[in-house]
Amino acid sequence: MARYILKRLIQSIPVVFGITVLSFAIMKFAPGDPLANFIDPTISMEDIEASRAALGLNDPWYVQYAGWLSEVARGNLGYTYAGNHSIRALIAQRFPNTIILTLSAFVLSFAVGVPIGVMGAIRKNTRTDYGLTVFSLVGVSIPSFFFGLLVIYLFSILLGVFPSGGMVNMRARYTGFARTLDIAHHLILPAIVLSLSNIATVSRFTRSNMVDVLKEDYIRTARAKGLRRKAIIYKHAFRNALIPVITIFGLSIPFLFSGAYITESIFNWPGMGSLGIQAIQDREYGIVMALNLITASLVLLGNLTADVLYAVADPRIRH
Amino acid sequence: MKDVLRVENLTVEFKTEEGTFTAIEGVSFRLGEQRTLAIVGESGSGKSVTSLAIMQLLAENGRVTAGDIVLDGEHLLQLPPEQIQHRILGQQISMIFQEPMTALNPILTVGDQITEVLFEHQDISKRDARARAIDVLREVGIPSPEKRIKQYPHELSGGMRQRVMIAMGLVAQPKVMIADEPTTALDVTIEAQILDLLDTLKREFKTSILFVTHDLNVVADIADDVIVMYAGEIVERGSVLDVFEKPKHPYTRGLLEAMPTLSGTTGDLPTIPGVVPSIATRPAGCRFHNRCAFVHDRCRSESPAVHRVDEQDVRCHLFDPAITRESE
Repeated sequence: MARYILKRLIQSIPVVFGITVLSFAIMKFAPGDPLANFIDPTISMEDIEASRAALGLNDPWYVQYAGWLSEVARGNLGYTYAGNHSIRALIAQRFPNTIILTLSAFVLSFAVGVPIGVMGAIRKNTRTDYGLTVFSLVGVSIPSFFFGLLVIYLFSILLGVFPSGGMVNMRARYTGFARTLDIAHHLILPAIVLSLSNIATVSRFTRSNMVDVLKEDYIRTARAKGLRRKAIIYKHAFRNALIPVITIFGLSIPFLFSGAYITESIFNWPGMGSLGIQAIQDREYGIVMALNLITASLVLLGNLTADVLYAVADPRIRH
Repeated sequence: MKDVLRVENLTVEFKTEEGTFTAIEGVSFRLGEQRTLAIVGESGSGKSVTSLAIMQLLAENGRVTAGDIVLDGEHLLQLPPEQIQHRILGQQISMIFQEPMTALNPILTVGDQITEVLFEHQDISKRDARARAIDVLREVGIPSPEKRIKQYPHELSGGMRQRVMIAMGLVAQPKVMIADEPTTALDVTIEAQILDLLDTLKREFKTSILFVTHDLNVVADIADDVIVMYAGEIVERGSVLDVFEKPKHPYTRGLLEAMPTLSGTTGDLPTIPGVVPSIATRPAGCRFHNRCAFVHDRCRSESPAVHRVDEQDVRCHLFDPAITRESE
């Protein structure tokens, strides 16, 4: 197993490399550059052109890419065009917040989605099942920017039970455990919004797997053995139905990270997503690239985790 | 001789979108202590439905609408489902299936799948259950059972898996074991081994076997008594010796003639023309009449009753004692 993991990690290096080349090129081919924001009628075109040349923005994209890569290889993520801030520091500040949000949404997706799917499968074609189906359908169909505004209106404005945005109460300045509680309080709405469509996907997928597994011969064998219903459902069916759900496990990670861009913007969540959106608008190439690099690595790590989990869950692929 | 299992007039219906169909009708038989009774028939004859109905494992749209199933004095159809699950299945009556590939759970170890029967029905310690599992695996002829109980089904061959199924079926020492085509998926040498094994184990575990098959060779090999099913009804019933020596029903005769023998003549084997009618297209009168060589008018309109001839029961107008028997 250790050898397999090592092999997979080595295999991911060229993949990450390819992703950075592609995203760098795409970004460079998009119109606009960092200086577009500084346009001031009092600055002459010649001066702007001179700064552009000084920043290396006139070089071909692959030269610029090589420059970026050689810095990153040395552990230097660069500085912003505006303000000359350390990108590493910016990300270090934002990264944990995004992890808190996406991890909560991830846990929520499976903690809610899997039981819903199982319930739908064992109550197949009953009202409960139909109700859950409608819920899932709404869940995947509703856009998160709309759902986000809906929950803000409902829970923040009408009911006033959850804050409408941010991560901490700026005025209260909580510390210690009170701060943790405060963050959790702020986390609930964005985590729900971010996980909703994932809950729907996970529950549909779990349901259909569970329905298939319940038709398997070994379920009939388990019934013939006189096992109680709980043992048949959880010991025999559920564990088999979960194996394909691991696929969604891996797929959820990129889904949630990209979803975080929108959710963080709606809720003013100070994470990488809102940083990323701002960076794209400002053409802060360094930030965008750093975020891509991090996200790509996490996605690959997620897929690797999923593959390892397959082996843990299914003895047939263990060796 | 005492009957362990008695089935009286069993009728099973299936509800489908096209209507309600009767899969088996008026099926009656008795299974004696430590005997082997074979149910033989083609696909669609109702032999599997019969066994699943006894186990109360019919699909959701299937229902027993009439009849009585008596296992060792207990009327199973009158017991609540919890009692069936808790006291009867796995414990007093067990079942093994055709496909040992798919009938075992791929992600549980062999030992786990055997011992769970004991944990479910008996108050037994982990150590004792493990010891029992090892014992029963040894009984079914699995070498080094101490190692095997930690293995998963995919690590075993088809024959070994069927032995594991048998071990699972026997570990709680049930009174009856139903074997639904247990050797159909295996090659012939393994089939012979498994049949021998079942015969030995029947005596060791004092179990009776209800053996469902389409293969008359297997019937001759393993069974004491046989019932022949056609289109949801029993058409002939008797001891294997009688039925094979003196088949009465035209269908049984056809089946036996269609059996290849080593000493037989060369050339084409005789066959029964036509196919088994589907559940929705069973003809009126005798269900076999449109394939029968001895068909006469009465067969087309009137469903035959069961007649006792010698030591056999036959569902055929030819054996009606009320009419003169010109054809015999």
